[in-house]
Amino acid sequence: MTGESQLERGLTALFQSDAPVHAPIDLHAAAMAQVAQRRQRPAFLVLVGGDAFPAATTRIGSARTLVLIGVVLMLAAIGTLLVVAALPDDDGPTTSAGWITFVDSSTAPAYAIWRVRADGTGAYRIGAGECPSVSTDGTSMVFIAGRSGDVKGQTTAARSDGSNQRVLVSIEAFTADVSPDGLEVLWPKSVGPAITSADGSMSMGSQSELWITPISDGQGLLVVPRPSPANVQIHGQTWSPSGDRIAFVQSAITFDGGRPVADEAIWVVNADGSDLHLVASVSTATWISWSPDGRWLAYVGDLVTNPQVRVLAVDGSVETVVAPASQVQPNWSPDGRYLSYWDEFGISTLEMSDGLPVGEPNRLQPSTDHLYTFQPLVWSPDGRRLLIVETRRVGSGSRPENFATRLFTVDAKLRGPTTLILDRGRINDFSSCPIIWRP
Amino acid sequence: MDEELVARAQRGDREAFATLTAGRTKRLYAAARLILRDDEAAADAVQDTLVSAWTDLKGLRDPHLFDAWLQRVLVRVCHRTASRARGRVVRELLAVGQSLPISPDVQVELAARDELERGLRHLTHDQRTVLVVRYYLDLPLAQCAQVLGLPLGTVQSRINRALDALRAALEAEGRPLVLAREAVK
Repeated sequence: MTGESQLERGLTALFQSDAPVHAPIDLHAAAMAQVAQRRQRPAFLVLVGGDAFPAATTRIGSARTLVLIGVVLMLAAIGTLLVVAALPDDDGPTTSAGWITFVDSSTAPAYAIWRVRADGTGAYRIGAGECPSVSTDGTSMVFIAGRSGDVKGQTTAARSDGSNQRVLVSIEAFTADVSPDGLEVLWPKSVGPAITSADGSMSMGSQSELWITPISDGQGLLVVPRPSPANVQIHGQTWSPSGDRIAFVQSAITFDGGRPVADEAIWVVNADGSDLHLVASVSTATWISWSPDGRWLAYVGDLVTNPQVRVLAVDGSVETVVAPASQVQPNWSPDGRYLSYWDEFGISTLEMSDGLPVGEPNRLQPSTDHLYTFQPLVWSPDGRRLLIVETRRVGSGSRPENFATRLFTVDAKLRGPTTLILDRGRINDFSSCPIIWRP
Repeated sequence: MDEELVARAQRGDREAFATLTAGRTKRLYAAARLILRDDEAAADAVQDTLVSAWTDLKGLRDPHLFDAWLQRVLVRVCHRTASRARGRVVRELLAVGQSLPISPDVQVELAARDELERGLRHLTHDQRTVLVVRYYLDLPLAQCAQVLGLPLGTVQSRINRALDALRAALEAEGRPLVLAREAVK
């Protein structure tokens, strides 16, 4: 007996045993009640609609068939003209505008921030630094500069081209985030001692506050104070697309038999610090992506045991498990049409409408001999192309020089040709500091 | 007899249509439940299938093929249902009560079923559909092709891919497929 026939037999046995003995008693009656109110479609409409069964075969010489073909061709021609004129090109061009900002990590631990045009031209080095954040409008950036060995870095602001660099705050705020309009920076400030297990054997870092500092001066506003329970941390903070609100995650850390356990919840606060409120308690939420209309939050839930892309209404009223996922940040396209994420198949984009998926996901399976491709998928500013990071091994050992990275772009439906943007030494080994594509 | 009922139903006889479909509802429901893995969604899908079948019955050109045509309508409806509701339905595995006396043979069978259940949950809707059509409806390949609306070669390759995916899912869970002789009787 071959393995396959054994599997097939097993399936048949399962299906037969799993099949219900009875359908719901009133199922047929309910259907017939609906049938009683419905008219049948005329045969002509069914044929034109392509629902004929078995499929219609062309009989040349039949006057009816010829007339039908003529009508269909004419309608198709008119329809095609209308569609081509009215709709944007779904696949889009094979290149896109804007600038891509990335970190050269081939000489780690000395990192440098680089910038390249989205067509792969004009690459240049902005300077030493890591973890850049660039505003949605492409005007401003912040990054960590001056970090070397045991010397801590400083959170540094600049124009997005790297000019006009100045220290914003003199601490390392690795997850500092520039507001969409490029005028303010949201950053976490560590406060208090580390959260430690009762026996002192485990430590999970300290608590933090959230501050907003105008990019033009250093006078900050405390937006979210240090949580009062001493075991609660704040992370994953991100601006809403309109810049008027901030979503973040609160993790209540406990230690269960020497293992840290986090009860997490998504919170939202206005950018002036008002209306701080809980949106929903969640299993896990490491990364949050706002929908462009500000109504939905996508995140990866159940991160450890069963990662899923979930979409949560900002008012907390509805949550939908959208797809199984991998442990990588999902991202909403700037036009709100798609969610991009990693799953067991590779890269997926899923069309969304009103917080719900529409149809099946588009999928692209990267080549399996390439490593470390699990980086967040980055959308072009117009939402028509997606940036894929592919890091492959070029030597033995784990040192940075043994890896090289290529950046590709592909259309939103993942079906067009991929375009090579960059092929160089290792870049962005910090998955927490994703590559950025801005106008 | 059925052909006469089909012909009458095609002329608008609702009573004939009710008679024609009454005995087929259970099997449709079973197939929908296997594809959708959700009782309520399956019941809705069967209702939609019967209503669609009524409205489009005149598209059936050969009354002999009523069953295949009805199954095709069901597959389409299930596809629509899954697209709309995907991700919102979480189906828990059936738990076997520990107090039940279970013989070793039954335990083996339940273990094999549990493995397959878990594996099936990792398949896409399309992959489950092709397996249900092939192995639950127990149709020969040519008829699978009719029901799925696909060329014969495509159906064969989709079945193979679905089986591969199922096998990979089982292996990925660290549960190599062990189907004892008793489990497949």
